[in-house]
Amino acid sequence: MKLEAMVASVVTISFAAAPDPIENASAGVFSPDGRYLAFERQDGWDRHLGVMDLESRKVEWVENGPGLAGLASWGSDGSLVYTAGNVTNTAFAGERLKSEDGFGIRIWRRGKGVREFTKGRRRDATPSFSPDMKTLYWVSPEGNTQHRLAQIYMWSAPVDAPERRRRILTQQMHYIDASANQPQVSPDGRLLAWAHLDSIRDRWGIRAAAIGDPNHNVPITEPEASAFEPRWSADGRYLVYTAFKDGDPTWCCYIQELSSGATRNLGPGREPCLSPDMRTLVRTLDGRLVFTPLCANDLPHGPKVGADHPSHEAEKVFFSERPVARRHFSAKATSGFVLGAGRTFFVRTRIRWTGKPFSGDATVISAKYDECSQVAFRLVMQDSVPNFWWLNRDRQAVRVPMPGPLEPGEHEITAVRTATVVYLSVDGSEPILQQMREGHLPLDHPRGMGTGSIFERDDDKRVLSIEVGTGWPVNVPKPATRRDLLS
Amino acid sequence: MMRHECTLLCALALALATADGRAASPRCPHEATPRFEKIALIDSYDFVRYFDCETKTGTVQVVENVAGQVGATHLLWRHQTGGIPRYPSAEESSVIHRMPFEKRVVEVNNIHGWSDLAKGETNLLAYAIEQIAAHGFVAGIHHTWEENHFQSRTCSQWNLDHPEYSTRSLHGIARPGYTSSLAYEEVLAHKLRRFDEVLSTGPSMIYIDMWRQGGWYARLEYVKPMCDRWRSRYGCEPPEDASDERWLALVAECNHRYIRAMRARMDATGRPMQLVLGIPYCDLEDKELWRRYAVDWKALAADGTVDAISVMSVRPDEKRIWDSTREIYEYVYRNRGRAKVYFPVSQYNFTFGIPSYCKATGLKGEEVAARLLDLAASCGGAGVTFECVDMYNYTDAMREVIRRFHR
Repeated sequence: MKLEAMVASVVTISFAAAPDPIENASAGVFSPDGRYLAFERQDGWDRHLGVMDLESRKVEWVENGPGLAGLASWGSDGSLVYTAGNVTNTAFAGERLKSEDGFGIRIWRRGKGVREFTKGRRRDATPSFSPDMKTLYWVSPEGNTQHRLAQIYMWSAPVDAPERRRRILTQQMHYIDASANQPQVSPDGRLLAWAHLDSIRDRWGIRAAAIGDPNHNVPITEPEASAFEPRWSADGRYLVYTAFKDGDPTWCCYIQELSSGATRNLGPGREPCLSPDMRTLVRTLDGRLVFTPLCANDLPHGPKVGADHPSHEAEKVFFSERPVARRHFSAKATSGFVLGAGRTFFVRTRIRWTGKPFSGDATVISAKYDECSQVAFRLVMQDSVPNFWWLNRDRQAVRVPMPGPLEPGEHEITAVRTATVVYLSVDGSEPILQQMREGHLPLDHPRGMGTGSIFERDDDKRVLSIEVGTGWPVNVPKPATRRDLLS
Repeated sequence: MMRHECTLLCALALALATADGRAASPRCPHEATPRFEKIALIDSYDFVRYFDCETKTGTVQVVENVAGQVGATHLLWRHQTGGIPRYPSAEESSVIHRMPFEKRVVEVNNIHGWSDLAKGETNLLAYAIEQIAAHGFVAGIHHTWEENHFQSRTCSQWNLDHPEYSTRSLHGIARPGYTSSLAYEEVLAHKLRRFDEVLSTGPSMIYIDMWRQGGWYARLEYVKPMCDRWRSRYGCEPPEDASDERWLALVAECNHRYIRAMRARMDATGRPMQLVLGIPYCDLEDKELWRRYAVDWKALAADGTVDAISVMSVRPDEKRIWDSTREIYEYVYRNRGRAKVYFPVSQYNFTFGIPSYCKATGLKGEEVAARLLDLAASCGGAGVTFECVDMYNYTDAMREVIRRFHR
């Protein structure tokens, strides 16, 4: 069945009044027809998953044995996909015994029972279907071969071949400890939205990308908000999510019109979900599920968003092209060079080497804002993998690594910092992205660019030139903007 | 002869200490029978690949392993993983193994990510304390200031449930789930309830670790009650520069109130207990701890709030590293007030440990350890701390040097 036909075949149910709250329950998710609500119920150490018929209030338990179950999403055909597992061994014993207890993904359908999609000693979570029911998306720390801290990757696999064609979608998210969680596919199947941890500042935001390319994504929520638990509206125009902004009394449920970015706070609570007719919001509040009627005025509207990147051309602030083994450069007191919020700033370096690869951490260039400040940025070849470090005056760092090592030869490495994002591009490649840890990372400095140095390397490794400037650099493709993606 | 006498005294003290199954640790900072204290900080999580730390058996194995390594007199047990307690807590949830059910996650590897030291029916923290004492050591808690391992994002459930108490930057950026501000009465009360739980496990020493602070800094204290307090006191908006001395003093009031409340709770138990303040980044300027965390260790030592200051790391002049280290040690000793002082013999190198000394001097690890021990003793140190004793992270030669050392 084609997607359009499938969507059209769903008959949604509307309620004359919002349903009564459901006690001792959380994480409510409306079925595509609006008649059922999947929810979680805590019972001691166990967490059960049930489906309530909102008309009769009868509950069918999908999982109510020992262990944990939840994090459910519905498929367009009425299937429910969720995470479940019961860990009975200690970690040590589980490792020694090669135990199979873990958290896998299961698919339930009324009258057809449960199918295990993934299982074993794993920790797969927050699954969701594509609208055509052909692909599943979920997250897992599986694939964290580098034992980095707390990384969670986004995975996908065809529903009918979970093991054979499973793959990580967010392979480029190898920087420090960024994570993706709670992927949700838009109703038209075009976009993926998820909660994204932006490195060690420990702040979550919602990001979105084209379905096939989550590594090139844009922020949905503003940097000031800490946000997670996104869910699409049935028409794909809105996202609801949990967020906290300065001044909020606690976690609140927010709704955003994606085309405009217009946002509204729908009140305290977590885990919001809109009914298919968009007239009811369900949220978790004080240990129970609360239903709130919505009217048209509750839905935010606004003009379509503009471009994310400054459109002005690059302005060269400093340029050196004479290859010298070791030297210092200075661009002190350059007029107009203020690294404030909203300014785009780039550093482009050409390097050449002919012999053996870089081994260990080799700093190639290093600069600071003025004589007294800490390092402002560094280009480090880490086993021939370019890493660009951006630091602020509090010595807080953001690292943007390329996914793999460079081959010997001549290369142009360009790092670009916008108001909220740092990009890295090598030889004009599509820039990869690192979101700032904070929306207002205080990179700005009243005295502007200061001094830097180019470190002496082996004779076969040379810095050919370094260029520093404002604006978007030429020869680096601009990444997709929010406007490109959502309008 | 001197060493023999010291050994006898130590043995006598040990016998007295263990007569009631618990080490005697007088409140008085200067013990009647001083011995050179060797304090091992233990993160049992670092042993989970070798022993089943979620069991009583594994807990004892860790105690006995550490006991045999460096000749420690004190064993201090870590009480939390990130923000998650390692014991059943009424105040705080554990649920590490649910990850990534919530936005909480512990370091991911085959064991760490699955351990849950709080789920069992046994209070493993209390059991560890009991076993440490039963093995003849002074038992204590390595009490991190805030959520350690913050890069692992094992954020506290209480913090996660209360974003409204989150710390906040000047620009209004909160960190919900990670660190809460002590400027809120509710946060102070929560932390003290947690502390009561820790005290109920029966420790004889509490070691407040100011380095493991979960990414918390005084510059993240721009929360409403703190800002209101500033406005009321100074009649203007809070300073943009968080290193403003008056701002730091304001933040320090909250921090010191917390530490003093801890002291009061310890005293209220009626048990002899020592409170140690671990301070990182010591140098002669002595501004780092103050600027970062707004804690005035000299004030807390002077008024007897803490029984000991533990230098966790120094920032020596690497061109004259030993002289510089000695000068810093002497500075801390001169300013110790009523407290005694411990100096570091740290194999952890997050700040400046043995590996950094090796790199700067070309000496071997055991040679550095020996010099640090000598320096600690000659600068008036009451003992040394080992941060942290893991599964043989101190080499054989280092352990031998440390075990043999007596003042």
